[in-house]
Amino acid sequence: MQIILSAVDFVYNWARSNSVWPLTFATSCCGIEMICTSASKYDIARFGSEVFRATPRQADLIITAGTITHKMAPALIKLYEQMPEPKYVIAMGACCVSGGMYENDSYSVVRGVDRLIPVDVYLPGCPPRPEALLDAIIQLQNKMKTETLADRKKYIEAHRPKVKLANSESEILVAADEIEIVRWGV
Amino acid sequence: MITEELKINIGPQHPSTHGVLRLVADLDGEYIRDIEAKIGYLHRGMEKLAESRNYHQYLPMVDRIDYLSGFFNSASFCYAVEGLAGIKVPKRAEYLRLITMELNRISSHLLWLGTFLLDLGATSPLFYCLREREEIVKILENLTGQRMMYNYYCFGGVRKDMPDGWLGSVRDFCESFPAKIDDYEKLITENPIFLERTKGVGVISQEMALDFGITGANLRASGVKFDARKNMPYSVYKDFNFDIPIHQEGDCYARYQVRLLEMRESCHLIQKAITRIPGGASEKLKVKRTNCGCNKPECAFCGDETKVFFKKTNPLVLKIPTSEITTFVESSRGLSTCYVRANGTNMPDRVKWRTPSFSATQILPELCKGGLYADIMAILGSLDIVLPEVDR
Amino acid sequence: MSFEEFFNRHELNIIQEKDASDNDIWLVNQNDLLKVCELLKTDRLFNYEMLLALIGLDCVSHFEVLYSFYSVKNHKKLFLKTVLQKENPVVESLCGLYSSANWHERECFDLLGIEFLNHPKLERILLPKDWIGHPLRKDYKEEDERLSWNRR
Repeated sequence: MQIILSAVDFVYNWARSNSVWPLTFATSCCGIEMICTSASKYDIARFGSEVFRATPRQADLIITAGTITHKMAPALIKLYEQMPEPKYVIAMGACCVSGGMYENDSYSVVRGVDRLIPVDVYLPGCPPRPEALLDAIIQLQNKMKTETLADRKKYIEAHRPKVKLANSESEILVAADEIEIVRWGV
Repeated sequence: MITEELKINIGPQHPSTHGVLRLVADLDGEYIRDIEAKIGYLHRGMEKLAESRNYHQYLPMVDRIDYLSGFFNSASFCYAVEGLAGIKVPKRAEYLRLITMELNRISSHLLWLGTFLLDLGATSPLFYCLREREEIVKILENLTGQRMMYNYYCFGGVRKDMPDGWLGSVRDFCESFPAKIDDYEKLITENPIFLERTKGVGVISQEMALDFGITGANLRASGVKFDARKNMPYSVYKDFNFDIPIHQEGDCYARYQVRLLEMRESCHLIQKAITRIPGGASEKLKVKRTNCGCNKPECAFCGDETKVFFKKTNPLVLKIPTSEITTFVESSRGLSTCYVRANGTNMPDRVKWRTPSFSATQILPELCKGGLYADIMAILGSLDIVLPEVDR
Repeated sequence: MSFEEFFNRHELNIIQEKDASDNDIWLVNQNDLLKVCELLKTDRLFNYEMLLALIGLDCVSHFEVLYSFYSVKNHKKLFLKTVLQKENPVVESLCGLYSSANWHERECFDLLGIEFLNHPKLERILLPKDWIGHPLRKDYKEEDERLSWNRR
C-alpha cells in the first residue's frame, strides 16, 4: 500500500511542482523585479510559471512582492482565503520578510507578511535580483516534492490567516484565535 | 427591460492598476456614472521617518518613493540639503548626475510603454521594451551596483567615479536606441486598434490641467510648454540646447507621442553630455592624472572640475541651522518637489514630497466620468501613475 | 506697481521673506488668505494658475500651512504661509479656487489634523478610516491596542 501511495505521490508532486502558476500581486518595488523575471531575459516560464493568473481562484502561488501596509492587509488576507488548496506563499523582499527598512519606526507597515499568513519560502533582498527569485521558485519546487498525499489535512489546517477584521465596518485587523469567515462589502 | 446600476470594485489587486489603486465605479450598463479613487494602500510614512533619521540615513530611503525614477527623487533631496548647507558640487559630478538622470528617464518611459500596451491588450511590446530596459539597467548596475534603487548621489557629488569602459557602453547604447524607437513606432503608432482605443479618449484641456496641478508629459500633451529643466534650471541643463515636445490635443494618443519624443530627446542629450564631460572617460582621466601629477586646483586634470565629490560630509557633524528650502526637479512623471526644513540638529525637522502622480490620480475620476468602462484602463495607463509616489 | 503699493491698496498686511534658495515667501493672516488667493489667481499682475503643493507643518508651539503657487505665463513661483493656533487648527479651504487643493487638504487633515472649512469631503485619505490619531504631529504616540500584534 505504502509503495503505491509513494509512487502516486511522486507523480502527483512532479506534476504539481513543474507547473506552479503565480498570482499577479505586485505592491511595490519588488513587483518590478517580478515583472522583469517574467520578461525574456530571466524567463520564468521555463520553470513552469507559464502565465501569471489575475484571479486568485486559479492561482496556486502568491508571491507577495512589496510592502504590506495596514490598509492593504485585509485585501491580502481575502486573496489568500480565496485561493484553493494546495497553495503556497513566497515572501519576496525585505519588506515582506520582516518589515525591511520600515521595521524600525513606521506606523503603518506590517512587520513581515508572516504576521498575517503562513509563509513557505522567505526571499531576502531589497529588491532581490531576478536570479534570486528563480532560486526561490526552485526551493519551493523542492519543498513541494517532499509533501505526501496522506498528510493533506495537516497542510490545510495550517493554512489559516493569523488576523481578522475587528468588525465589518472597520479596516484595521486584530489578532484572531480561530478562523472566522468575515464578509465585508465594497 | 429593467436595468439597475451596478457598483463595481476595481480592487487593490488588479493586473493593470500599476500598483495598489482602488477604484469604485458606479456603472449604468457600460457607461460610468460615478467613479471614486481610493488610495493609501501603500502609505509607509516616508515623511515621518525622516524626522528620526540623519540626513545621510534618510538618503537611501528616498529612492524608494518612486522606484522607477529613483535618481530624480535622490537628486531633489540632495539639491535641497546642498542648498541648505552650502555644499558645492563639482562639474564632473553634475554631468554624471545628468547622464544618469536621463538614462533613468528613458528606462522609466520604456516600462511605462510596455505596461500601457499590456493594459490595452497587446502583450508583445512589453517584452521588447523590457529587453531595452535590461540593457540600461545593466549599464547602471555597472556604475552603481544596484539594478533599481541606486543610492548613488551623496551630498557633494556622487559616490564613485565611473568604471573603465562605461562611457563607451553608454555611447553604444545611445547609437542603437533610436532604431529601436523606430521599431516601436512601426509596431504601435499606426495600429488601428490602438488608434481606436486612444484617440479622443481622456482629453485634458489646458485650463483643467493647470487647475488640477498636472505637470510633466501630461501637461505638455495639452499644449502648455512647461518643463522644469528649462523654466527652473538645475544641474547643468543650462549649458544644453534641447527641445521640449508638445502636442495640442490632450488625449491619450498625444501623451503617448509626447513620451516617445521625450525618449529621443533624452538620447540626444546623453550623446551631447558624453562629449562634454570634464575629464572625459575615466580610463583617459587616470592616464592624464598620472602624467600630470601636479595636484594643483587650476590644473585641468588634477583640479576641482574633474573631482567626483567636492567635500565628503560627515554624518555626525552635518548640522544645518534653522532654514527651509524647496527644490524642483523634472522627474519622468512630472514636476517633483522636495521641501526640507532644518532645525539646527543633524536630523531634518520636516520633509515633504510633492509628487506628480498625486495630481494625476486626482484628475482620473474627472476624466473617466461619462465614458465607457473599457476606457478606464486606457486613461489610467496613459497618465503614468506609480502608486508609491501617490501614497508615500 | 510694486508689491507694497498693491498690498496697501487692498489693505492687506503681508510680510515678505525669502527662503534658502531665494524664493519669495509671503506671511499672510488667516483671515486674509482667501482674498489673497483670489487676487493671485485673477489679477493681471500675478496670474498664478497652478497650486502646486500644500504643506502642513507642526512647529511645536503652533501649526503652519505653506502654499506653493506657480505661474506658467510669467514663469514665477511664490510661497504663502499662514500661522495657525495649536489647539483646533482651522483654516479656509481653497477648493473653490483651485481643484488641486482637494486631495492635498485631505492629506493635511489626515496626517496633521488641520481642519479646512467648506471642504466638500474632508475625510481620511491615506490611512484606514478608523485610525486613531494624526501621525505627523510631533506628539504622536502609537497607542492603538488593536494593533498590538504588529509590535517589534
